[in-house]
Amino acid sequence: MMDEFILTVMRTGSDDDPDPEWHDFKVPIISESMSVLDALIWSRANSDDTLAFRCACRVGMCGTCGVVINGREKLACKTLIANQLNSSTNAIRVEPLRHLTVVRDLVTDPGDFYRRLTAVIPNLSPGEEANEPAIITPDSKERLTIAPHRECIYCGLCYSACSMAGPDREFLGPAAFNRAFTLVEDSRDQAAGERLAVMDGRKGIWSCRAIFECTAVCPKGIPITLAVQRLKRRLLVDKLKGIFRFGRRRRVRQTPSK
Amino acid sequence: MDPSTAAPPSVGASGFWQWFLQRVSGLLLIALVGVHMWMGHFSGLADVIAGSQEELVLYDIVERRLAQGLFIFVDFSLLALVLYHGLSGLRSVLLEWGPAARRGDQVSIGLLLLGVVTFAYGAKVLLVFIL
Repeated sequence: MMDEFILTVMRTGSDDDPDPEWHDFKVPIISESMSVLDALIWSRANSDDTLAFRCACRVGMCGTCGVVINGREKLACKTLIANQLNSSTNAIRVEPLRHLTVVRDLVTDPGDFYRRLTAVIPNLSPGEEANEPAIITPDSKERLTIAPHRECIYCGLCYSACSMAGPDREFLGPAAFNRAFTLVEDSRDQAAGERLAVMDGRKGIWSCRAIFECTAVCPKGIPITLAVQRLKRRLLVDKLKGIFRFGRRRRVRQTPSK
Repeated sequence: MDPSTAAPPSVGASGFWQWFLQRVSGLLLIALVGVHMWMGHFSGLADVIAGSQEELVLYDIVERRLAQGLFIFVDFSLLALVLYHGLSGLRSVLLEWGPAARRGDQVSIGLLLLGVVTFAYGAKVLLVFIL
């Protein structure tokens, strides 16, 4: 096993030269379970204390340390150095998440990400006449359908990996669609209509090309693309029902009065 | 699904109709291209094997077929659907590219005009066999 490796980090330029630049840190491999986050912490403690990055739980539960490692979105705390190095390279490249404004080095402003999330009404809206408490058993179809999608930790990796989020800055994005899906499928929620109307637009669900990058990078293994396809199917069925309902009303009007 | 919470159909909602018609046209194309390929390249196989026809594709057979009602419908439909499906797909790709995305309406109008002109040219060729 190697004794050390090169941690190459994209850093924000200075006031004199704001273009981002790559900066190399020579980092010792302390143990087999050393993670990229460990390497970043070591680099800040021993090489350059101005290196900026985010972290919190360090165990893959909070989603704070999301970055792009060797071109792929990952959580730094869950990405082992040993899995990123091989016989042909002793360097690991780390960049900030894509499609978000870079504040400094690896720290990004999640404002755009959360703005899209709030656009789909991300809170449960039970309605005024909800029966309390709602009884949804663990083995019910509804619960089993929603459960995998509720694991989302809002790390933003899917949003960064999404090809449509880049060219189209208004695209709501996979995390918003996933959250909307959990609520649209929830029988307690009464705001499905409003939520689906938000997603029914060019900036909404119809711009998803089902490229599956969001699903591939999700650290919780959420089948995000499946949620998107199910939402498309629901909207399609609603629209077709609306069209045929309109057709029936026209035939009724043409019926001669008695 | 509770009908009271179902989203009402939004007439003219941008994105949905292109998505929907792209799939509908794709499915229709599978059928029509199959018919076209069979009639154009394989329907005379039995005659060729039996010796009553020299080659699989003969001009006078094609000429007679292109003047028949059913195949007029098939060929014009194929022309329209291929153009729609291809240009709609091209529009989707172009609108994912920043410089074109900022001129979305111009891209759409340009491709529409291209489609109309190409359809007219193809129809002119088909009409030669009908009129």
